[in-house]
Amino acid sequence: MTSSAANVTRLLLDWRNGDQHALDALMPLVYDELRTIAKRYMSRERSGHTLQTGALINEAYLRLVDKQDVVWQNRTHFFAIAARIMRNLLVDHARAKQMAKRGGGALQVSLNEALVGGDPEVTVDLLALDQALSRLSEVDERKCRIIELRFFGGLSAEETAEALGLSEITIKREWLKARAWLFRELSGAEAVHGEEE
Amino acid sequence: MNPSRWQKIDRLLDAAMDRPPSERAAFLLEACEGDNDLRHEVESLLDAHDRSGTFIEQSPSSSMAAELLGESGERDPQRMIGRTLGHYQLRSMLGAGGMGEVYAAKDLNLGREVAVKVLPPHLAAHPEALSRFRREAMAVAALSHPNILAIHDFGTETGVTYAVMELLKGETLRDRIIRSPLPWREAVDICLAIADGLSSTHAKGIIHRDIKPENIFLTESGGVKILDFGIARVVSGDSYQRETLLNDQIQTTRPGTLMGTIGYMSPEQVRGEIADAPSDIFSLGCMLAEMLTGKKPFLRSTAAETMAAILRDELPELSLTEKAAPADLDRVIRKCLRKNPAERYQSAEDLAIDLKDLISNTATIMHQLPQPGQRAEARISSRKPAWIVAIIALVVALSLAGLAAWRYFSTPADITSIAVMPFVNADADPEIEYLCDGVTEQVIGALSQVPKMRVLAKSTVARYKDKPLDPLTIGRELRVMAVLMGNLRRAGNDMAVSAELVNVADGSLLWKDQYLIPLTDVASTQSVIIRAISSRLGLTSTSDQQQRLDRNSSRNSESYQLYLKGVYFIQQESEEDGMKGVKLLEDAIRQDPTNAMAYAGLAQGYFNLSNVYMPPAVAMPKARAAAGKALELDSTLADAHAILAVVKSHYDYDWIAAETSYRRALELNPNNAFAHNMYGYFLTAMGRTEEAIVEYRISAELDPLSPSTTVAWPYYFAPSPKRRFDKAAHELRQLIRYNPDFPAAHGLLGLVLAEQKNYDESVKELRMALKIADSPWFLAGIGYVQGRSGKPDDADQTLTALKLREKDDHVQTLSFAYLYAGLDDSAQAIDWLEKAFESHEEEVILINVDPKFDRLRGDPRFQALVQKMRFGF
Repeated sequence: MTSSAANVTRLLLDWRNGDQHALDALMPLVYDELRTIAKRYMSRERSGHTLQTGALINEAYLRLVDKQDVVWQNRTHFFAIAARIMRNLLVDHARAKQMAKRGGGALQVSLNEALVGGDPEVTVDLLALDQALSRLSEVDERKCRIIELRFFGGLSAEETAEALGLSEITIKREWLKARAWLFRELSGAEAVHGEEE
Repeated sequence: MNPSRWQKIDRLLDAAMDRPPSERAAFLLEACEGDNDLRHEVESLLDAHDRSGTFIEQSPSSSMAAELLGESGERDPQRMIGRTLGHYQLRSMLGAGGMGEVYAAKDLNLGREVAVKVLPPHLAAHPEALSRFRREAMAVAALSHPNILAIHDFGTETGVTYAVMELLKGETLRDRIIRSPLPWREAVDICLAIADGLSSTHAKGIIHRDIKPENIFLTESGGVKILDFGIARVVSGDSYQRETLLNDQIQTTRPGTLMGTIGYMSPEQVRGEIADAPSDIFSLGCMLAEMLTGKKPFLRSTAAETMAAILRDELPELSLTEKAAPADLDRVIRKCLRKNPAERYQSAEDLAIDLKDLISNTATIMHQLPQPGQRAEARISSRKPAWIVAIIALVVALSLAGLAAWRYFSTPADITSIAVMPFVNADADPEIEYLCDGVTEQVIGALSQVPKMRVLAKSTVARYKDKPLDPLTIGRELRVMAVLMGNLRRAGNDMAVSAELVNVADGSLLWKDQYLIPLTDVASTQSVIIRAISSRLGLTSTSDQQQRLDRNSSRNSESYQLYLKGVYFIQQESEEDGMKGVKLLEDAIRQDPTNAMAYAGLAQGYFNLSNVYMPPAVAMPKARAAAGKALELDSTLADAHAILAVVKSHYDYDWIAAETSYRRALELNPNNAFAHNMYGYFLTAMGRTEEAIVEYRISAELDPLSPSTTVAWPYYFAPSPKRRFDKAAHELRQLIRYNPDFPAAHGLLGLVLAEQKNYDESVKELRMALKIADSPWFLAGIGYVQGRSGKPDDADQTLTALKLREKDDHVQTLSFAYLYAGLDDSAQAIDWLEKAFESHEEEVILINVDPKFDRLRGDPRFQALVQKMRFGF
């Protein structure tokens, strides 16, 4: 066990016990570890094999969390943080690309412009998704978590279930409902926006 | 949409999805009971579900986040130059530090020169911190006040987060003061400009909290700018509580800044309390005094004394060089520097009014009144023409409390704090285990002698022993600027020593070397290493210090090795190890009777045994003799002075002599955490609570991972008006969270809770303490609480148990006094107290501040005892 593992385990516990500062302290630790692993992979495997985001998070978890002292809530919180980091990273990236396109300056984000993803059919406006997700989290934190873990964190349904301590069936159902909600928000169809906030 | 509404929708959605599509409409019509909005909502979600296809089924190119991560991270500053962030093209680097790099850049849209501060990646990936930073940067930016550094923009690009600020040309007020004190009029003008700026931030609830000459910039064109709202935070509603907590953490754990800025701290900041607008006024007052005299008004030779002076001392007569200075100036400064914040100017505006009055009252002799914030041109040119125009760009606001630990340092010479990791026994060779510990300790000891260097105590770094170490993580955890790591390995008849010094700011290697030292000459290891580090860090050590360093290690290798082994054992917990350590140290002295360090170690060894395993009447005189012998051989040994001080306070009850020795020890080695801790204990006993808190805080700063440095002690053991059981309980709970196995924390918490009349929890904590460490002290505590809570029968049982313990253990006499005090049996309690006094038990010195004895205070016998101890309060 490394000292940072002890530290991360302790902070996870604190966070679970309601200490919000613990989260502030955790973020950079987890970020650093994710970055270290990612860098190592990228220097080792210059071409061909790519590092999957989900695999990266799993490895970081194994390295950073003290298994002696593990409770599933720790696992949940750890994965939540990692997925949140990935979400921020991707959204920032999308925002930067968009700003570059517009010559910068404009902070207002136009939906549907920043596009990420190779397959045109599954092209998603990450910035709009990010915003919709933030709205969703206000009424349904769990669904937001699931989307973060699966979509941004690249975890499978099974891994997500394990990370959250929920059954796979629940995850799948929640996922479908959250996805429907987000799809409606992003496609702008028939949404009953009148009662938003 | 509110959550309960959403739950309803969610449930209906579930139910509808469970039904075949054809039945859904009918189901919803019935289930929604006429609530059409509800029905439409669910239907639109079902519709979205049907149309969503593979929407977000695929992660954004499943490897993209990982790749972005891999690309972010350490940046080569050279590669940053020429790069464009947003629409800012980086031109050249202006400076770098732990908080990131600052570049001169060109705004490609507007064509103007700006400064771009690039945040380090670990901050950039920290959404909570980032949003706080953003919020505060925006708050400051929204002010657009001429006396506050302007923030133009803020952005993130592929993991690089940056803030864009105005580019300033000029110098800091520090540079200006160094040249000479300022004419009063110029000083008052600058002060007015700052007050102006502060009143606008204060109005928005932003307190600066770090006003000092380094953070005031004088521009070439005569402007005054406040920089670096570094530890400022937005004061609002519920963030208040968090903020205090955070500040407490800063006060106790944040190094460098505390020391560096100490001269400008307000009393409430020193005490770790909430610092509001009047706190900034206090700092401003300090600065005004310094501008006029060239001296920091409360600066003393050590941090502890400076903190004590801030809390206690009145401002001395200002020796102004100028005759023309208005007499009222002194009054204004004094009003800024009132100890009680309520007596200061309550707002920067009030201060500005008085300053303007000063000017207008003398205006008849001035030709032209400069506007506040704008110093007259004539004054500018009267500055030395040769002054260097420094282009400095600034960092604003890093409100990231914990992360803001590192200040600028661009060259190794600026390293002012260091953690020496335990030297690793590379081959796990049991024969040299003690050497690893010994070398670690010696290196710490020797580095502690370097002026202005903060070196973490061994008990803190010892936590990292035998753990895979990442120096950057450790450095950040311990908030030091550099980490020294090394290992030892036997190579034939030699010892191979390798060591490296890592700069925590950027992970760069400051120094690395290997030595082959004959086993017969290991004594020279530490001085070789220290010399190399000192020269690499550009540390100057006087020949006197160099000599001390050499003297500290015995020339006799065998004696030195015995010494190292001895010191290793006296630090272990058990009696057996302690005795073994003492014996080894005695052997070391036999080998080399001039080994002063061995005598000092022996003194420490006896002190460690005293009161726990050995009656003070046996151990303390031996400790005194050994310390005296050590000082005879080397009068500059801080460790020996510290032990001597402890003997004088804890055993002789000779307060005046003790204080002299404590001060001498701290003068010789301001980094001696043990001395700070013991001095804090002494001050606690003297009822000098505020000063005690300062010592405990410094001790915690030097030894952050050692649980015994908690300020809960002075909060609990204090003259009754100064007691703060709530704070003590808070501190202890925090401590227990991180050190759940520290028995004294549970024990003291139990006693604190008893004073709060929370007897059930109190006993629970004391039992926990007893479970962890089976010490009679905790048993006595339980008995006390039982008596106090009206359970005399239980207390009697505990008393019997305690008496039984006497057969096998050294039970402190004082324990019985506690128990009888709980039972309100004054006669017995005082009998035992007198016995404790006769046998010189160390905790007797606390009786005048101990809440457990409050009910005895009216008793003439108790008063007589207190008289005998000559507390003087």
